[in-house]
Amino acid sequence: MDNILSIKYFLPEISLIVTSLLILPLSLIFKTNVRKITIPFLTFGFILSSTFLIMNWDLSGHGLFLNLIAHDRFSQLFKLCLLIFTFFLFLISLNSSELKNISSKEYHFFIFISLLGSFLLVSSNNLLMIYISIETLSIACLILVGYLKTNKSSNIAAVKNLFSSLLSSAILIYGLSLVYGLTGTLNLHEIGHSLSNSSINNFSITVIILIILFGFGYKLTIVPFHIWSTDVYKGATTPITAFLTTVPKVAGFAILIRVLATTFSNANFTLVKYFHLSEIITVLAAATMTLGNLLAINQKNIKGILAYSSIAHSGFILMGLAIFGQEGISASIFYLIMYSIAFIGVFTVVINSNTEFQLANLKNHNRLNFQSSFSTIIISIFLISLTGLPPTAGFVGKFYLFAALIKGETKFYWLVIIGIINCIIMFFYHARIIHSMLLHKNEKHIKNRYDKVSNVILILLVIPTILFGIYWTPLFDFIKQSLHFFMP
Amino acid sequence: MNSLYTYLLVSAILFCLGLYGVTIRRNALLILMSIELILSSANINLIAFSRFGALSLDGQIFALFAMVITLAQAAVGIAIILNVYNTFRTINIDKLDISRNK
Amino acid sequence: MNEHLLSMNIFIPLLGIIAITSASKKREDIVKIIAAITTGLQMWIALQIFFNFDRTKSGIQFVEHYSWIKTFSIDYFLGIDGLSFPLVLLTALILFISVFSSWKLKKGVKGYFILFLLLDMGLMGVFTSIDLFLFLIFFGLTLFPTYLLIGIWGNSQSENTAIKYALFSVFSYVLILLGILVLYFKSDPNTFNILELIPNVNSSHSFQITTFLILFIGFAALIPIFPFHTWLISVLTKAPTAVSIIVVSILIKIGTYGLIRICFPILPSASIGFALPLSIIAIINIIYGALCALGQNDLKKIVGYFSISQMGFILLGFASLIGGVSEKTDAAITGISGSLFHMFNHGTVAALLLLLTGVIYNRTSKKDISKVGGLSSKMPVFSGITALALFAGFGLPGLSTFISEIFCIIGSFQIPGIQVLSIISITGIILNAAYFFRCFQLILYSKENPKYTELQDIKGNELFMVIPFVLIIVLLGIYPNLIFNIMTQSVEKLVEIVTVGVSIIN
Repeated sequence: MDNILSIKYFLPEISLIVTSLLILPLSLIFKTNVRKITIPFLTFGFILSSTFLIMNWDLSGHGLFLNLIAHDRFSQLFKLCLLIFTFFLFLISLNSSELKNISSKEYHFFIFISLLGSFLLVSSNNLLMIYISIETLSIACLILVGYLKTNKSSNIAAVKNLFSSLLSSAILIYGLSLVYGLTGTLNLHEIGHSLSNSSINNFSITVIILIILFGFGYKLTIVPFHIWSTDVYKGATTPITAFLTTVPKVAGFAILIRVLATTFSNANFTLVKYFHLSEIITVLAAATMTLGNLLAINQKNIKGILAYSSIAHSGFILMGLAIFGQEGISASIFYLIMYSIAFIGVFTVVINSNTEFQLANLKNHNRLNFQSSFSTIIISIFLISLTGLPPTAGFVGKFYLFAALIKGETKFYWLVIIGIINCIIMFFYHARIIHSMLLHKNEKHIKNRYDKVSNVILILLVIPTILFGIYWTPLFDFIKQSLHFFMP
Repeated sequence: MNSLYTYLLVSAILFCLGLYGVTIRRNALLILMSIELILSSANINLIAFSRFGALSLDGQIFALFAMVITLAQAAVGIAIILNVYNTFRTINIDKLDISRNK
Repeated sequence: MNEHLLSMNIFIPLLGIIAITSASKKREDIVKIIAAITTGLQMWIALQIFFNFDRTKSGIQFVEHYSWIKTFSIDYFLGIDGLSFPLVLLTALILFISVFSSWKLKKGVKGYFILFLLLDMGLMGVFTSIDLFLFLIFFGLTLFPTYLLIGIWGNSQSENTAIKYALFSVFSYVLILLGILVLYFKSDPNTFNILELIPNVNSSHSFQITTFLILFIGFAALIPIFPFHTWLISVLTKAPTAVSIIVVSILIKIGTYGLIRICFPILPSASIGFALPLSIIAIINIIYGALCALGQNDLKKIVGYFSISQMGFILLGFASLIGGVSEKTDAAITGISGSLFHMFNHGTVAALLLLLTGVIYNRTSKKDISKVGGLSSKMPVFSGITALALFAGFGLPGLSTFISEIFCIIGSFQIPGIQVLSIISITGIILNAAYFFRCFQLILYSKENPKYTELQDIKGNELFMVIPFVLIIVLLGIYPNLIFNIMTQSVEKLVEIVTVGVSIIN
């Protein structure tokens, strides 16, 4: 599709760009009462973008801008999820005490930019586009992490994030350049075509795959990168941690799935065998979840636990990608969405409580007593969903992952066993949070300052967590149908 | 001499130097520069492939984009490093420690 | 009306929960009354089923079958047969009584009863679901409420106990999930329906052995079999009385129920192969439990070890399943129905003993029964009931446990391979008798403690809770057919299924 025709399908992104560009001048014009002007305006931006997204909902795939960007079911599903998640995170962050006393206009600007980056990322169909969008996303995240300029932990997190993010993107572009050299094209689908037809030696492709996984690894917090990402998660302010553990991760997994599906697998979604891709991902999945879980046990405060838990969940999601196939991918996507919902939910409660709760040592037997039992119940539901017990959506996610694994080949059976051990460990430290809220005897009161918006968000997040734990067919079918990648 | 192989060799050397620099340097600015080395090696790759592989111009376009993005990264990176210097009075990343600087 | 009895049975607690959440915070008695009404209704439904149960049918009854998740062929499929109905009856009874045993609760009444009813819902679902996925959902539903009930409302050191319980049960849960998934994918067409799985998984012996092991270890952690037993003892000592009654009378029965519902019919060849190891494990449990109980002075711990020992008898009865293939079908039927009956009887006796422990503790606040002193002269009615409970513990002839225990032993005795083991198990009975006589002597006829001069006899609420169990124990001792009637057909069918299943593989 040529450039002019493509604009119609590009309207969601355009509305994001326009909104974000207008925030800065607007906040300069209305110096007093900035929040009263910008927040409705930004909300309008979100709504506009989602309206365009839904208006242009299209089941057949299009390649926009000469096939640089794919407008297919897969990208639309992810765009919708990302938009909703970011909108919720945006609303929640308005109530954060850490961000209260500083100017927030740039913060919102960068949230919008990173949303734009992840929009482009989930729909990129071309190596150049992948690079540009991943950079848009990570530069915005760089600034978000260091947003509190005078805060020491935020500064350290920013430096760590800076180097790991720059290094991983530098290595990614090196890998991409090698892919370009081998195949002579930047289009994902054509690369897949030429890889399967040519007689390129196996070893070099395996090396390139490793380099590219290394490049994506930081966004997905795969094992060697967990060291840096946890420090960043712990150091950044809580609303930004909530953002980092969900939105870039969802986008990163989306692009990983797209790359694997369009270039490294055949039409039936089986990964090409002779690259050992499946084995590599299996090992990464096992290592990621085990290390994430083991390190999470030792964490003292809730942010630390959530940081490592997010890594362990990445391992589980990778588990589905190791099997690949329609079942594996859709199980992973389902798990990814449910994980993000639960994570945003937990973070909503954390952000809305005072810092005492965020920094409280969960091991020292003080009971963190919430003022309202509402937050205790809600956070418990999300944590149960994260551990994967019925009747929550987390159970269904884990169930589908294990189902896909057992259905797969025998070489995945050891991964099943590791996964099961990890489920038990995962239960242990998630339960510790519930434990300290309900079971410890020395009381310590935690205040939460809920506004109506957070309450509505929490309820909106709990509904799918419970509902998809009981009846998930529509969502699952939807995800399965979305696995139609645009192939020019 | 003037062949794809030479360029790839140079790029590989640059890549390794960059990685080496990232691992041993402790000064934040020097790490940033080492990362830039890796990026340049990738750019050399892209341009060389595009020129010698008798392929399309895609690679050169990619390199142009990559250069611009690298600039943006460097700008943000230096800003963050400056900010860290303002807070900690050092840019040696080993000395950045919350507990020590309280 | 009759078609939806089981669904009503499961979902009445949900209505109760809604009612409780909308009840005002200050009126705690209303919350308790709602809980009592809810469990009372369930009791009434269970009795309805009891009177309408077709005792001549071997298959499942009161069936409810709707399609739920089509792509995975998961159904909403409820039904009961002779194997599960006694447990449903027991669950309804125990839960009803448990509400009254937590009547004096003051802390967090609302939360307690919400979790209690959630647990109730899970337990009812576990015993009535025929679809294995549904079984998993309901089983998973029991984990968190139990964990919180133990942790929050238990005594001072209950936090660690709660996490211990939770880890063991999650361990068993995940293994059972794995086993069920393996069964699902081995069947063709893939199904979670137990009835379709039975003729469906006609697989190799080695496959059956692996799957059986996965499921068995999962259920063993619940039963609990010897190395896993530690959680049960600490739960019993730390949890509130009502919760420990539920755990020891019903929750651990999910383990044995799972064996007889899932493992034996679906994996017949492996079950027969495992009969000997199973009976050895059973003997270890019997002897170990009894020996540990001998050294205890805390009546709650004694009940815990007593339960471990009794679970051994149940497993011993299961082991006689092997009789089906060695042309001793009668022995197999005797053993299995003995086990099933014993599951019911152990539930009632353990609950009664725990209630009586609560009565002693309320009056003297002493856990150590050797320090309480003789109570026989001060509390005559209580002493009578206690004597009955203790005698029922080791199976005095004329009481219900005698019949079931003897059936387990007779069943296994007729099987050549495990004859010796069944003889050894009789020492278990003797040991049981030893420590129960010791308790009998300590609680009732030891030297009176001068501190407790004025002790009230059991009456009112306490008496009301205890009486049903006493009646049941005596009534079933005299007329065991009340329960046997229900089971016989289903047990015969089970033995037949196993026999046929084994012959197909050979």
